[in-house]
Amino acid sequence: MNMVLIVTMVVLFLVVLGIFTTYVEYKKRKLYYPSSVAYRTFLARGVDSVSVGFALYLGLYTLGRGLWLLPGLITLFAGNIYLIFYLLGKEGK
Amino acid sequence: MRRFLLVILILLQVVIIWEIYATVKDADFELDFARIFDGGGVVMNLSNVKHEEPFNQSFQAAKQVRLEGFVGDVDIVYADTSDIIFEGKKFLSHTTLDMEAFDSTHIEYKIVNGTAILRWEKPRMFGGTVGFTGVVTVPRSVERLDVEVELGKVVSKGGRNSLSIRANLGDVRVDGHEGSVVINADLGAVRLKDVHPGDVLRIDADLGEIDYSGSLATNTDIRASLGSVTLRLPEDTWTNIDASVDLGSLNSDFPFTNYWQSGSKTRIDGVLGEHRPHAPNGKLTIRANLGSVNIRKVAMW
Repeated sequence: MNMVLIVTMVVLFLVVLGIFTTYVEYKKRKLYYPSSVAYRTFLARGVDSVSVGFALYLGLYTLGRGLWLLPGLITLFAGNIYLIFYLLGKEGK
Repeated sequence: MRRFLLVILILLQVVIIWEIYATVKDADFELDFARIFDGGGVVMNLSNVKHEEPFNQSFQAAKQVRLEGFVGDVDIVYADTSDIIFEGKKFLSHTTLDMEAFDSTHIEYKIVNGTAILRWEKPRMFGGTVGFTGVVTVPRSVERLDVEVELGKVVSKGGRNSLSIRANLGDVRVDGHEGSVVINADLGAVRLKDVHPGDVLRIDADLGEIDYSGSLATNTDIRASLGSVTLRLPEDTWTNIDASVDLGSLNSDFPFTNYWQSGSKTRIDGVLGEHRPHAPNGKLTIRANLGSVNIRKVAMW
């Protein structure tokens, strides 16, 4: 099986799973806290993940281009999704 | 401001997705699950060959020869010659044709303390692979041969020397060898047929299976982490044995002493073979973590 196809499937699966679990987490938090607090969780997680992902990406890039860059890129990807959710949620308010 | 940030983040997300795609595509290898689950085979392959050229070169041999850092399928044969002869193809496996990387790859030759060292010098910071696939003819007079192949299969036929093979990502096969054998294989299977080792026989396979057919050395050490171990030994085998299997079965056609089992762990720490009046000289050590161990009795001549 082609590696590109496998990674695409894994990334898609993780994205769908991430969106679903984030939504469930948001609904749960909204039961106990106001929406703004629930959205701030996205902001905190997003900034955390983006920082860690960027640091990993930069650090591993010193080894050159290769599959070892994936941990940093995927963490960046996940963190960015959180930030987009945060902004979209604020946008809808 | 928020809308502007949103657009920036969405653009960044597209860039990240593209970067993930490009990184994976540049890695230029395919996973072959069928072979992995078939008992441990070559995990990476060299199918994406962009360019290849005939490669024929020869070097003066010494009593000891070491081949380092080779990439590609290597067949080792022995002949009445004084040179180490490479006959085959040099290939470039990558998504793009990088002729600078191809041309800069060569065999670095030097003699250090009576050992002829031939190193496959690869380009640095290159995402693809430049390798050699073909036959390496080694003089019969070579007393010791060390082979290191990072990616690819290693086959040795008819050696009469001390042979050491390290294969990172490929199968190892040794046929009709007489002399000490040391094999380290990370991912591939190890198959040895009609081998008559001298003092030392050591096989270490991390993921692949071990299939050995031949007589035992004075010190035989066989270790497998995930694959099974099959030993086909002559009927007159008579040796001390220390075999243990963490999670798997241990079967033998030969009688043995001191068998015990504790939980999932099975161990034999005694003597293997038909009983004789004198104590055995050699020692057979087997360690298997997950695979089974089968010791078969076969007719050999």
